[in-house]
Amino acid sequence: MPVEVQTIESLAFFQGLSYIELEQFASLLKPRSVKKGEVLLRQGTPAMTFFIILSGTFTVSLEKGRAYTLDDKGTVIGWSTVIAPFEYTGTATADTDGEVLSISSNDFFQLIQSNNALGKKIIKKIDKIASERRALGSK
Amino acid sequence: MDLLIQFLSNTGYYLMDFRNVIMLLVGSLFLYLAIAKEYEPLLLLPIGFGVLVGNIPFFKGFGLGIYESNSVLHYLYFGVTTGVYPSIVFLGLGAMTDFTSLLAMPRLMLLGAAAQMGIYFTLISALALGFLPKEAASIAIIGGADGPTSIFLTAKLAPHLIGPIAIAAYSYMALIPIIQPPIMRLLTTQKERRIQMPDMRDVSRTEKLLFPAAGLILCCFLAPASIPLLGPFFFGNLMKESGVVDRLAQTARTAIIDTATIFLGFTVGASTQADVFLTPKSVGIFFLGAIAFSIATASGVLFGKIMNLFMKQKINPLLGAAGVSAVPGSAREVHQVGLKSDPSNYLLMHAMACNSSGVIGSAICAGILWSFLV
Amino acid sequence: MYGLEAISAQNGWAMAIAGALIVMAGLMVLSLVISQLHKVAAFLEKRVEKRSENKQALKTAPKEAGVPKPPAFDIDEAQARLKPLAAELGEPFELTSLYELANRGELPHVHLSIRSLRESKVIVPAEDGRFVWRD
Repeated sequence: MPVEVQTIESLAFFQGLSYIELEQFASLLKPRSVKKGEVLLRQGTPAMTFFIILSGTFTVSLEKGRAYTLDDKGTVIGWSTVIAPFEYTGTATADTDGEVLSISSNDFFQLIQSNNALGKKIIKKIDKIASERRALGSK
Repeated sequence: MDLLIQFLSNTGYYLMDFRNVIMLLVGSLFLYLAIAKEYEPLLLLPIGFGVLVGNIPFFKGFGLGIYESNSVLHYLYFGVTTGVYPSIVFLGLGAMTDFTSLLAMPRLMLLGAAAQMGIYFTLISALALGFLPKEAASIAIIGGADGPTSIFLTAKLAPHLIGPIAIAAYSYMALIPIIQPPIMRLLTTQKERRIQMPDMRDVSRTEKLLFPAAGLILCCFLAPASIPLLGPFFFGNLMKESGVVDRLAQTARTAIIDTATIFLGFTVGASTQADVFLTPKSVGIFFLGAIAFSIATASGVLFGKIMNLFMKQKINPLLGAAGVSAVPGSAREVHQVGLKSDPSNYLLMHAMACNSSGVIGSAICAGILWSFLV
Repeated sequence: MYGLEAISAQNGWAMAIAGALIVMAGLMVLSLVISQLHKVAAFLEKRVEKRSENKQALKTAPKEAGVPKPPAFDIDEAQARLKPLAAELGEPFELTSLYELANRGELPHVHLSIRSLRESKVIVPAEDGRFVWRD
């Protein structure tokens, strides 16, 4: 089932994008239901897909026993698809039933190929999130 | 009883030999790479399944095989032998490519040109290995890293090699993540990999409208033999940028290109039969294909370093690897290698510019080689 | 035939060098042209802008000679023009008849004139919905 623009326009990641850009993005997003206990992505595997939470709670387990919980609508899981190290740095497991949107790295890069202006905007957003993550990691 | 025996002697089981088995395994391998590993699935899945279909043994004369003139597969294969499918694919490619990055920084086009040196190096290597000139040119174009271009030129110059050349081209495109990064790291220093590219200026709509016209005239006047590829390519791009035929542009970059890709991949796969594929020539083609990709990557990177000797504003030489027109795979690899050296160095948009120029460059090279050997 | 001999025999060196030079030169020229495209685009955009500005100016500009401009409104002049017409109609007169006569005579600002004269009580209502002229 294709994703509607209305589903994503209120999400933080998509703020600042025009309607046409949201449409292009929405056409590539795939909705997916997730069951409690399902593993969304595994640490150390090549990062080929990233996910956007629509509902549900997810735990991301890192090395050395560290973990954090994500349940905000619009949170992105799997940023390593587009930033270093390009393999998942944690394992994301669903704590509850939920729903996510997914986009493969192939589709993502093809989207940027067909709309450079959108690509620039997304790179800026990614850079901001990556900087925040680096800052968190160094604490 | 005679009827039963006659029927059984016409089955694939009876007609099979070890070469069919090998090709079925090759086809299965492509399907595995496409589905399980997600290596270029849009290409490898149709090709893989085509290999399976094309290598099922059958009784010749029934109009079943792809090389039999009255068969369905032969009619579908028409688009490959005449170059129709590659032209249609280029139409869709033009309709899905945004040249904003290239227009904002035109000097990146030179990196796309430099990456085409892999084609000419491979041409010489293929001649040295004893291939005929038309065969050598068809093998050399693998270095352009563009499947439709490779198929287009091979259909014109050496149609008997379409199968192995197409499979070599698409296989190496799928292996870009393995081939390119070591070459990029070998030829660049950590300092060079960390060179940050300046922000790109905004490009007006008028510029984006003028570019397809300028590109068509300049490229096709230089190499008229590239008209079947670059004509539809720039037409598709103009449809995209004009904004007045959105429906047509949308159809070109979705339904039309997908249809052509399906039939192109499927029939190329089906044409790859054991007697053509399982030959020493195929081994030579695969070997030369690897050389072509490697030299193309290396020449792009090295040209970037040479440009830095003369330019005040340095460019990141990794971008030269994106001149290999495996879109968007090589741009993604450059982006990844750049980020691994410096997590704040986003080269993706600049790499896309080099990628787009590589597509134009490889099509021009195909036109040049065809005009040399016609 | 193999090796360097094969390359020379098949014209390989010439094809490779010529081909490489042609593609480099071609894309160099294309990149040069692209680098100047923004100037061409700016020139074309300026021309389009100027043309649309001229069109706007023409729309709001006064009409050409040959189409007379309506004269500015003057109540005394209006009174002087309308009084003879009212006298022609006799008193009391109907306003619609005065309107018709004034329009036939192509007097300017007919409606405004009659309304102003009514407001300044030069034309006042009489019986049966008709009007009379008061100086």
